[in-house]
Amino acid sequence: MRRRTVMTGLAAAGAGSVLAACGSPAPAAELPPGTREGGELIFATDREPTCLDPHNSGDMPQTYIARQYLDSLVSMRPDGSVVPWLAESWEISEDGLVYDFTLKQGVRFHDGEVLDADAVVANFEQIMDPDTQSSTALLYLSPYFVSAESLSEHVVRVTLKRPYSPLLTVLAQAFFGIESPAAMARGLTENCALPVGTGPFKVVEWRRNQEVILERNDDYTSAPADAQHQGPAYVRRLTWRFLKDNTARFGALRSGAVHAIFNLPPESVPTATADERITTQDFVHSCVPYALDLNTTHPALSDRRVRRALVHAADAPGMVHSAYAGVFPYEGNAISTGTPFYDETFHQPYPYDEQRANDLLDQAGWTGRDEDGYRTRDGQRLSLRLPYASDPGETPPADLTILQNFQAMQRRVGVEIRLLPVDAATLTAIRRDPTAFDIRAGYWNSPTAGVMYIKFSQETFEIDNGQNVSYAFDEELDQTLLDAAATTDPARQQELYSQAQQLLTDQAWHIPLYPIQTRLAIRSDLVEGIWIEPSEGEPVLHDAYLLRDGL
Amino acid sequence: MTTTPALAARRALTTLASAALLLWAVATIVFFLQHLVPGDPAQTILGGASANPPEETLEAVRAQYGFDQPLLVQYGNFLAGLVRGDLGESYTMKQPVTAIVGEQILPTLQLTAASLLIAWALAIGLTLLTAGRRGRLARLGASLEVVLAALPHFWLGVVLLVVVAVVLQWLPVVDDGPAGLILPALTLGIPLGGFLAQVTRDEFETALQKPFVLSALSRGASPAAVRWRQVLRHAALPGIALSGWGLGSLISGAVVVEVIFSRQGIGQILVAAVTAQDLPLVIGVTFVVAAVYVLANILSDLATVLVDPRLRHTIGHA
Amino acid sequence: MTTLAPPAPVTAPEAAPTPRPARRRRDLAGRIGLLAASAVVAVVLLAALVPDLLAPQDPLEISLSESFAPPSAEHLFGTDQSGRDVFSRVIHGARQSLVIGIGATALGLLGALVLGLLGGLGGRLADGAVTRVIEVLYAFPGILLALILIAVYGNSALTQMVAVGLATMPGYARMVRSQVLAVRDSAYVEAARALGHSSPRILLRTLLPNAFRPLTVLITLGVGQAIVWAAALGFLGMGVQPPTAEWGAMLNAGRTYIQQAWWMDFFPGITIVLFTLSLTVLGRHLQRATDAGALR
Repeated sequence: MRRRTVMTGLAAAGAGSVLAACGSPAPAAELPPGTREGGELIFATDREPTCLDPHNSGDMPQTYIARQYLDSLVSMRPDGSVVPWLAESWEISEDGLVYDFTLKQGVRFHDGEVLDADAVVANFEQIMDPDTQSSTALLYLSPYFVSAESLSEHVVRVTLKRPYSPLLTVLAQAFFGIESPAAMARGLTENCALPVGTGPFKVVEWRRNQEVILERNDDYTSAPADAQHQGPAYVRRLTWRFLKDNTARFGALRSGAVHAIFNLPPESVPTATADERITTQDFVHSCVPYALDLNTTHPALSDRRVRRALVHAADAPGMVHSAYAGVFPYEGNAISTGTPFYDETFHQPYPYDEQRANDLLDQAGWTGRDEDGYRTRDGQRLSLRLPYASDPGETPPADLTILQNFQAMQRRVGVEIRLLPVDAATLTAIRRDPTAFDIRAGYWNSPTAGVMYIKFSQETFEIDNGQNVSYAFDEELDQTLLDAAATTDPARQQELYSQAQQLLTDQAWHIPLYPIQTRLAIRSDLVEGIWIEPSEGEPVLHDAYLLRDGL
Repeated sequence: MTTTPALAARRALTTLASAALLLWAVATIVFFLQHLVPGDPAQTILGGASANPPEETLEAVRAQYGFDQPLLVQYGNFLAGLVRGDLGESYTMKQPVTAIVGEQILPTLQLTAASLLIAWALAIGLTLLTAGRRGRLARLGASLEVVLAALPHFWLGVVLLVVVAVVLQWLPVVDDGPAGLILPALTLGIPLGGFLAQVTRDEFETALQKPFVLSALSRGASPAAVRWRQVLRHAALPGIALSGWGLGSLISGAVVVEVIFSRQGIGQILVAAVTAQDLPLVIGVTFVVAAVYVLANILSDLATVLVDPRLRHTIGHA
Repeated sequence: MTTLAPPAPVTAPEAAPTPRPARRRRDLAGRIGLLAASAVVAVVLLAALVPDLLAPQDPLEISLSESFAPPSAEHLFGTDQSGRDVFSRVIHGARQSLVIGIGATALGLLGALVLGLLGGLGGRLADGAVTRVIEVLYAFPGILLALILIAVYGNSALTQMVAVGLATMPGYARMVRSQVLAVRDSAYVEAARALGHSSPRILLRTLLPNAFRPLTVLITLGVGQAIVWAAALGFLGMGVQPPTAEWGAMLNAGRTYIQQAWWMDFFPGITIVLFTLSLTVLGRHLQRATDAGALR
């Protein structure tokens, strides 16, 4: 079953009250004495989104910020169930192909438009429209989605071509936040700069490379059922600031220039723990962990023995531990501990074993050695290209260290890893070209164990947009995952998903390293009420309030 | 002897023409460099960490930006835009380059001004205190200047940041106001100050040996007064002349310092633009910096002339 | 970054004052300084030529259990985040920095020679053109040119060399040109002509040596500055890619972990400072010895 790992700092009291509220929906709460409504909350994060419309593209920074100004149809609970949000209730047909959502009434977008069934339909259509250039949202829908239609003013019918039991948890992500049709009609450029939703905050201005300024939506009535309070947000203004540099971001938290930060740098954890004013919250995402994906179109990597050898040669737990100063957990399974139906049997499938690696490589025929000590076969050196983003915001120092450690370890068994720093545009081009790389680092966040299908299926392979990074698939795996998506019996789901994890582990198409986490560091002496929602680890600021004035 | 107005006007015009020619050359060089890049600018424009633009969208962007037009046509458009004050649009930030640069140049100018101030204070202080004196003090001053001038920005900045802001917490790590200016300005100002001090010391010590000093002393002026008024002014001359170059050196240093201290400014924007291969932004920032640099040199020439009347004839005959 | 004589402003008189060492008697302190500086430079040169001789360990070999070890007998400068020996990496980094520093200076000098000779000997038109070219190169302060070239051509060692070389070229070119002009009209050349020597011979025997003499001092200072610029590029992440040891890149990595491992940033940094200082001291001694560059 799923587990959620939470780590708190010394001042556990503050964190405790926050966590307790995650469970049951609270009625409109009274603020504790001494705290005030209003004020400006400053939240600093490391990565800046490329577009504020999360339907476009679909990178993590987009979903984190979009949660503040978009509502979704349903909200996900830590145990995997969903509660009402914009959809008050829903009915699912027997065959699992038809979902009827009844929408909450009286909700308006920030631009005054009414939230009705037509609006929701427009959202689905916009996601499926190629002009939106959707990646994440599209990848969830395209294997399953047929159509969305308005049955009445407030009832939306979504029809699928195949049953998809995780659909509701998928719709809980901010990637599927509902936007105003009038706003979407302005076109991608404008919608990227100033999207419009129904959420507790509205986007006022995006100062590139600096911050996004949001203001409270005073007419907010559509909080999810598991919010800590209903009604408008407490703070009047929210500044979502970009501080890419780790020292600057953490320094700003310590000095109080910002109230909370996203992604507490691992090297700052000891200081954060020792500082009584700082509380940390950790959340392990449901995801395919950050891993090194092996491109099986390469002649060496098409051989499973070589792939397993690479895994054995890399001391993955050691690498993660040293690069992240012991702060990040290691994960060797195809999915993380935060993913439903995680099976800990596969936590570390291949132990660190240089001898075994050498044996496997010998068996695979790479027995020659050239003058630099690297293995050769038929005169060809076993050399693998690993391109990565040169921007330190995309490849933080710790990840870079992991890549270097990986290279050094493979060198010991005679495999050459060529690390290639490239800029974002080149990397985009490389993503879709299987001849341009041999190994690539990546991860995939998703609230469901079906993420294994998204990443490794034949269907994704055939869409050919580079998401199936290994360019490999296995029919048995696909069938197992489709069966799991079709059933709603948890015991059967566990059985099938465990089988899938077994198959993936056998294939060794990738070398998993660490799960994606949302790690917040909060000045608990300045702000309370920040919590992390479980579908994508999005920080929720709707319930946050300031403890002191004049900051 | 002063010059006639006509001569001065002609000289001013020549200077301006010279400067304009220079800027045109800079713009042309940087433009053609852009077009020698092998990459596909359309990818940069549509790219982001997880973008997957389809071919039709790429085509549309190419048409929109005119990438498919012949090179000379694009150059013509570029020059026309330049005259209008339009430097194009940033590929990654999707905003006009002039807007971005306009926003970002102010913090950099603040930083360079503050650094120049610190450099000057350091140079004058060291010179006044230690130049021309006997024994240890002069040697100490001279050695100190050499050491200070040899400190690289990227090392000094990190050391200052960690020791003062992180460990001692005397100053904030990141701050938009004056408090956040102190450490970056020190990082840039100290090495430059060391260098300026060397120059000023040279001139000062030479000037101290000149006859007019002796005559001033014999007329009853106190040695301190002499130091201050006569000699310092004379020695400051080359320092002022160097300030134009110094500004260029500071802007160059600002690139590194803004990155270290996470400050806004054209230095860090340039680094980000280079990392992302956002060429309009690279071109725009370079062009503006070159313009500022040329302007600064012209101004420092004028200042030099003002301070030393003997030079009024010779300026412009380079 | 400021040890080299600066360029004269665009429209100011020719002379760019070079900081000259105070005229005082050579004393013990001065001698010790010179000795120390020479020693530092010699060690760094040795490190660049035969790093394996000086470095106790492989700069690329990792040892995860030993990460962030403080300086000790076994690891003089401590270890970095992957357990690599910082001392060995500093030794190996010398080659990177020196290759680019010396290569850039060489390129700058070559270009300066061409430009300076052209301007000095080529008549008014050529001289005018050369002056314009020098001005244009001046208009790019320091590191900017390097950044642009790297934006366009990527961050190979060659690009860095060309970029830093172009940045140093105008200073040298201006000096060569004024020297050529001075020597061209000097008594030596007149005498040689009167004696009937051929032009090429005059060029080689008289002009070039005299034009180059002031440069010998500038070269020492210039290499130091070129190395600092190269390290700055490495610091910004635009130098050689990791895990190759390079001083600037090591400073960048050290910056991240400075609170846990101050030695990662301190030792590469102090190496650069000491090396630059030593070059400056040597340069000033050379200057005093040849008494060149006096334009007053």
